[in-house]
Amino acid sequence: MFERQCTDWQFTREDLKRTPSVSCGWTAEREELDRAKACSLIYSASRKLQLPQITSASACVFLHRFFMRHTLKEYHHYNIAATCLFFACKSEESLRKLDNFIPVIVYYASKGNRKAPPGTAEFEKWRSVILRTEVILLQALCFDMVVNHPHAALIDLAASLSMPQRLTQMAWNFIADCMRLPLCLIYSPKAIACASIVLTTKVSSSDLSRASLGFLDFAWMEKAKISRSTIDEIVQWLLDFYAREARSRKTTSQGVADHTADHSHTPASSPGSAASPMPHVHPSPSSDPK
Amino acid sequence: MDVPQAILGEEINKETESLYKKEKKLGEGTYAVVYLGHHIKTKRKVGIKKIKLGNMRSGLDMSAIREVKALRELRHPNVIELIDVFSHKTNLNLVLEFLDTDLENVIKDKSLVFMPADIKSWMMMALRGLDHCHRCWLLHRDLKPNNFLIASDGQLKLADFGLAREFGDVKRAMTSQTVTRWYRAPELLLGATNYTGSIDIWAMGCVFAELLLRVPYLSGESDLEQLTTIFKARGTPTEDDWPGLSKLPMGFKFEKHPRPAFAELFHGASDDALDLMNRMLTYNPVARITAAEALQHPYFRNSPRPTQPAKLPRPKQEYVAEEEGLDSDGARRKRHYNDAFGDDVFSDGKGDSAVAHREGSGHSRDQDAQPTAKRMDLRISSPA
Ligand SMILES: Nc1ncnc2c1ncn2[C@@H]1O[C@H](COP(=O)(O)OP(=O)(O)O)[C@@H](O)[C@H]1O
Repeated sequence: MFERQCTDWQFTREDLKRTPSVSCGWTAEREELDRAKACSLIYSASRKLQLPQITSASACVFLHRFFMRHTLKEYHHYNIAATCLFFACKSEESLRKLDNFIPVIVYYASKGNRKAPPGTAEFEKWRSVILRTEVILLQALCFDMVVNHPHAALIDLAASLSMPQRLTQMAWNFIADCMRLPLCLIYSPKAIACASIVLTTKVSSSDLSRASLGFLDFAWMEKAKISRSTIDEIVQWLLDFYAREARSRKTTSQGVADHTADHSHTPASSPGSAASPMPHVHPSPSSDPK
Repeated sequence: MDVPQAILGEEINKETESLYKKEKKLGEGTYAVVYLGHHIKTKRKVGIKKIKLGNMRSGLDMSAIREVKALRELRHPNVIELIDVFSHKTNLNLVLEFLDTDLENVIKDKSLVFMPADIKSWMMMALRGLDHCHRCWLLHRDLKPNNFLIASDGQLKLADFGLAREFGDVKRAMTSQTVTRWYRAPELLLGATNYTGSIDIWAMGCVFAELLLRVPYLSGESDLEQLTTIFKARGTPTEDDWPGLSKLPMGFKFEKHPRPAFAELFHGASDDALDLMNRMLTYNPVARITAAEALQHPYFRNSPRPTQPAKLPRPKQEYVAEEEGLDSDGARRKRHYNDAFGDDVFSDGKGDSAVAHREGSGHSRDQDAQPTAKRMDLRISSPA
């Protein structure tokens, strides 16, 4: 029944070094990047489709879980991103019609180079991929579609710490970036929320008087029962990822500081990195075997 | 070197499918065909609900996704158990506990005599199941007698969660076209989209009345007539009965009907039963009793004590007993409600309605599984 191990979504960092994709030739780094690109697509499309944050976050979790059961070789990350988002729209009660959904996905997946209005061959190709993959996704998820997110934990923490609104917003945006990494497979939503607060305090220390912030002494973390080392791990992972992503992009500098400044005042476009140029791989549904 | 231990979704799915054997068709609903089946090893009887292929333009059926999502979260003796799920090609199959009959069959079987204690027992089980849903932040949205299934041991179970969805967020507009018309709350008929568990309570109040009367209580022929039917039966509400009434989308210009004496229609019903029913059928949704409160109502404490489930009256003809004519039976029982479900775009926001009280009825046998999350807390938008 459901208790069978199939709905155990708790993994270790070691597990990420022996995923299905790694076993068929992907390096762990490339997999991480592909997952992140897929999540960026999810976030860009979500913004355009005005989807609730919870819908995009669930889509990312579905994607990370999917690739613990399937390979990037067999399933292009953009195909899975599209399917996960489409499915999350259903499971989170924020339905979108494929007629509106597909053109948006194609637009962002192709960096604005391609259009796929209903009736075109491109549209039909995507439609058949999404509908076929939807069932495979649901099977891989073992029909488990209830996800707990760090967002709720952040709201609770922010309230108990009386965090200033501006910082809460910043932390909220870091969570969006956390969703792009497979953190949800390893850490609890609360740990991720804590890490996003810590990261916020790190990058905002220059323009905020540290002394005025009661929550900087980290005593609250003990109350939240999240170990300091867990939080450091998450923070470091995210910082490494930003650095690696910046290198791989080889475009203008997009450091952390930039990044947070970017979304501190634009809540709607929170995932700053997702707004960055799309990757070069052209996603074609035909790259999906079968 | 570790072999990557990828557990393939397809394999698990095939394995699940192979555990069950489908036997014959039991019935057909709006979006599903239900088969009798059994678990091959344990011989446990199951109902296999095969979701009809959704329209190929939008993939997997929303009702099926809702039902799976809701039932996986709910574990309660008075909620149907979802044992397994598997897909076959693009069909979803829900493996449910097998339940012999339903409350509609019981009500319609005129050879059965209901004692007040029997009605109390059904109401208690129904409210316990509903209270559990509401505490898990789920609205059923389609309560009616044939969605209360009855097990062979007499336990009543809420079923058919195809319209169920999370609530707790007052800002999210939901469709007002839910719940089969006769059981639809007045605020829904007037176009309210910010409803809560109170709509399920209204429906439950209608079912209560139907158990007492043995015919549907508020059976209007159209949505408009439904309101007139309600007003004739219960008196036209005033702004006093229902503050905010005039602000509902449909406006409010209805003929004034006086509030009739209920005791006449429901003769034989005890005062405490009528009091509870009236609280469930209160116009103002905010003032309407909650499931948790209803379970605390004196009706359930006063004598007679509720009948033990195993001793409740049940129809002689049950699905399993019928070897022949299952299909026509299924067709007869097919529901004709207008499936006017049409949610489309929802905004997100944080809400604060609350139904989450502890039940605390001393002798509760409920194995209350805690909801995995306070649904409401997930319904948050960016903090800005
Ligand atoms: N768990 C079950 N056990 C036995 N029979 C069931 C079960 N679930 C449904 N049925 C039968 O299948 C019919 C169709 O089911 P369903 O689609 O859920 O309901 P509805 O008739 O409300 O659309 C029901 O009326 C009932 O006869």
